Amino acid sequence: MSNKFETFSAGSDREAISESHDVYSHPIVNTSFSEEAQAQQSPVESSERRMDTASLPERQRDLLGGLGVRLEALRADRINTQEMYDLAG
Amino acid sequence: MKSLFKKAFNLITGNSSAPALAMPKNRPLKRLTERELLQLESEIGSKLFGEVPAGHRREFFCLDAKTWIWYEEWKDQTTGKVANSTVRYEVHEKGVLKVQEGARYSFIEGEELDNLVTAATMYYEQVARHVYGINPQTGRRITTPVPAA
Repeated sequence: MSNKFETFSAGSDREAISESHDVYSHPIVNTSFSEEAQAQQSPVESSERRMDTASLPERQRDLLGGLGVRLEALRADRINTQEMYDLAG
Repeated sequence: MKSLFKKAFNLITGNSSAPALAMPKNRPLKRLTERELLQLESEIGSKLFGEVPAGHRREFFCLDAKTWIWYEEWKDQTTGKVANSTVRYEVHEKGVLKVQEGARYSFIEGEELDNLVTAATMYYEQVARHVYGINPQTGRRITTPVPAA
């Protein structure tokens, strides 16, 4: 990981975090995804959706975290499978 | 049971006289490091937002369970120097934190959060299918991913 970023404490108050001013406006900021792309959220989101009354940003955060966990699991599984093949020759 | 134990023991001790456990020579998975897997994922991630502009290099990938990386590199037309921008999105208890160079931090919301979640969902759907050969809905294997070279 690059050290371009300064250390950030997860416990910092939201108010203490400086405002972000984009020098380079990248596509995550300004892309308009198609309705079809938006619709792709539903199958994954439905399995991640919490049963409580979490707000939309909380659900989005949970969904993002859930996707990260799944991807890490896929990577780990792939590497473990490769090692099995290596062990077996 | 005794036979299974013997095979397991042979695997651990390196005794190769266990033909029942021998895998086919034409192994279905090319050996890839975690870094190479991330590069494959990022190839998909970089295309989620449409065509990359000429002269640009783009990376978008999930670094770990709580971190997503956006990286773009291009040649500055005025100075002729290579410029780049890195954005890190971190999943925190309080929300999704956007971290940029210059100690700029902000929790994202609204359209940017919508776009990031949409991009991450598309990324997962395509990476699961095309890099890992997994059906993203069922989690079941659908094909042999990344054929051996």
